[in-house]
Amino acid sequence: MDDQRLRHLIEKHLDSSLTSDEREQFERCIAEDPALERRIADEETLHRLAREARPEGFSASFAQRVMEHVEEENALRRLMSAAKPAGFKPFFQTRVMRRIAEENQNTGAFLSQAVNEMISRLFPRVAVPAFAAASLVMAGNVAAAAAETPLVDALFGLPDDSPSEIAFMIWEE
Amino acid sequence: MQAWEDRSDAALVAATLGGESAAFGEIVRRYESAVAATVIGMMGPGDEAEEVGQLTMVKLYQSLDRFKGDAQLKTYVTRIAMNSALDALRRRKRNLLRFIEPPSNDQEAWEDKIPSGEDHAEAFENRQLVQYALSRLKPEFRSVAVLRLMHGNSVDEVAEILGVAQGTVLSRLSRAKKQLTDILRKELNHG
Repeated sequence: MDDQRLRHLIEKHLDSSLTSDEREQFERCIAEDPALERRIADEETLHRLAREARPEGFSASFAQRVMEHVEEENALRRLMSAAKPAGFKPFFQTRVMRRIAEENQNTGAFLSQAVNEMISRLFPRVAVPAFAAASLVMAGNVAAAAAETPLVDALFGLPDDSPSEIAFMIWEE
Repeated sequence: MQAWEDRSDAALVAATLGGESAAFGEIVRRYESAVAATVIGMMGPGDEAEEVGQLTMVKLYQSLDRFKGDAQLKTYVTRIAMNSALDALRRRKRNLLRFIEPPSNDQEAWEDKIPSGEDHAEAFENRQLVQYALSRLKPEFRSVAVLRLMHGNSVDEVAEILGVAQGTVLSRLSRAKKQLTDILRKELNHG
């Protein structure tokens, strides 16, 4: 029996889901290879240990915090839906926002000059509103801004032909 | 009106898409522990894991309209959690390619040295030990170990969540188990 097949049978044995034919095959393997019994015992121990080590969960406020994020996003989505431009690259803007969020965390409440300049370069036609919106969103909720949200499209959309490499320029700045 | 907790996943998804955010609250409660097991199993406990858990749920919310229902919602959310945890691990940069201990020659029995886990301190000790051993695995091996050993998913389910072939899961699982056993045996025998 090849090793892959044997592994398959061992996993099914551990799940107690062997068919009668498979069980017969499996028992034959054990009879032919005494070392296999040791290996299976080790695996059973490992499964038990890992099962008992399953994390208990997140903090008590986890669900409440998720719902707060969701409500924030819904509110912002409603606000911005009318102004959402078409044809933008969502992942690009998400990266930009994440970078801004990190920058904001590093430098406190205000965006650094480097990020200000980066915003001006990226959004030459809408630099002032982009900066204002970034400041507001960052000050309001960094985590929500860093998440992939359609709001980012609405605030920081770039035309489709914008070079995506520029995002990496920001990362490495 | 039927309580949210009594409704099927499909009904909760439909209600959420219809604007009932309370329905999504039930989805969060239903799958919080699955997300926690995946994310904490991959990253270890702490604020960072909690943030990735939050991000997982927000991503789930954002992508519910793309959920076709051809997979179970639990599989879908576990896949998002795993991908989010893997992304976070990549971002960490450190620990990505940890040195893996060479296999120990010490084959003495280890079961007897495992604390029984019957009291709180021993259970805590076991959890720490397993978490440590998992953290020593490369992410591709850790992901199958977390999903198969901690979650209790079948090999087929792990393959579906990770989007890889069953044979790949079996092969990675075999290596992961070997490494985990070696690490645990070493820690228990010399700890």
